[in-house]
Amino acid sequence: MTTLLDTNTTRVAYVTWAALVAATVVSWVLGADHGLDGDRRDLIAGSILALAFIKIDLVGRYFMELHGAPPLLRRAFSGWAIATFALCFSLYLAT
Amino acid sequence: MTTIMPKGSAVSASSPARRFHIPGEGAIWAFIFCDLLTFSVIFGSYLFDMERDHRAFAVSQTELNLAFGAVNTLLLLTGSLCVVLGVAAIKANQLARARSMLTLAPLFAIAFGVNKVIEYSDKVRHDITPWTNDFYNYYYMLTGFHAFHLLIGIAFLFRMRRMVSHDRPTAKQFAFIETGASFWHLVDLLWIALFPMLYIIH
Repeated sequence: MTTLLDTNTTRVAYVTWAALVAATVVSWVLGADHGLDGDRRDLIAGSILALAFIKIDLVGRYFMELHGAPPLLRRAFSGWAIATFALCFSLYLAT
Repeated sequence: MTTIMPKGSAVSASSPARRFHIPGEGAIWAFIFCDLLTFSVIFGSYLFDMERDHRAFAVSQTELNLAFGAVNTLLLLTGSLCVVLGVAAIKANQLARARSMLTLAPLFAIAFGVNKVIEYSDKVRHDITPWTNDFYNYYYMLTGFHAFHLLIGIAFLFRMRRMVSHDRPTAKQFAFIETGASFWHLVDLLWIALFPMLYIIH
């Protein structure tokens, strides 16, 4: 039996991939400008870390298909991403 | 909405049991969460030690080539896209498309590995080893641990490709394919966290 390819799934996959690539390029550009000192250091580092964990959440939701998974699994994954971001950024701010 | 129709599938798309779907076998999710928690602890330890020797970490980080890390991220993301499209093609019983996507995915993974070997070789040529300082100790440990995941991921991808070589996969094989896909995306997302942590923020 042949069924039609789920165009919505593939469209979401391409859009997610494009968003992930764009976020990577933004991190790359911000990273090249990320100095050792200065007022913007924490802001840039925080933005780059936040972008990374937003990317991770997107991978979980749309690549790992957690958007259709039981809410407990979905929330546990997002919870891990938020908690790890909070841990990393708070430790970074201590530097 | 398409229907997942692997051979021998007993559950229809309209069944209430399909309302929520765990992608892959349950055990892989237990493993994924254990792995994620392990990495959280290592990230915490890394940032804690960075705080103790901030400038030495920052100087070592500037010796890394940002382009290597960024290109590797793009390679893994594209490999992941191929896996998603491959699994979607299996669900739609478009085996030719599934074969193409699951052939491309490991190629991106291997390209990542080659890139990593080039990067390691360059460091070793300049006498930069895990014993150089605390930063490089973390660098080799974290990227090495990730490379180990990469190798397992590549093995999964080859096995997944073999399962669509001749006929559409059985329900059991499809569960394995979803398990492999979930593991592969874990490899991808771990690198997404490692890239800024090691290469960018200091």
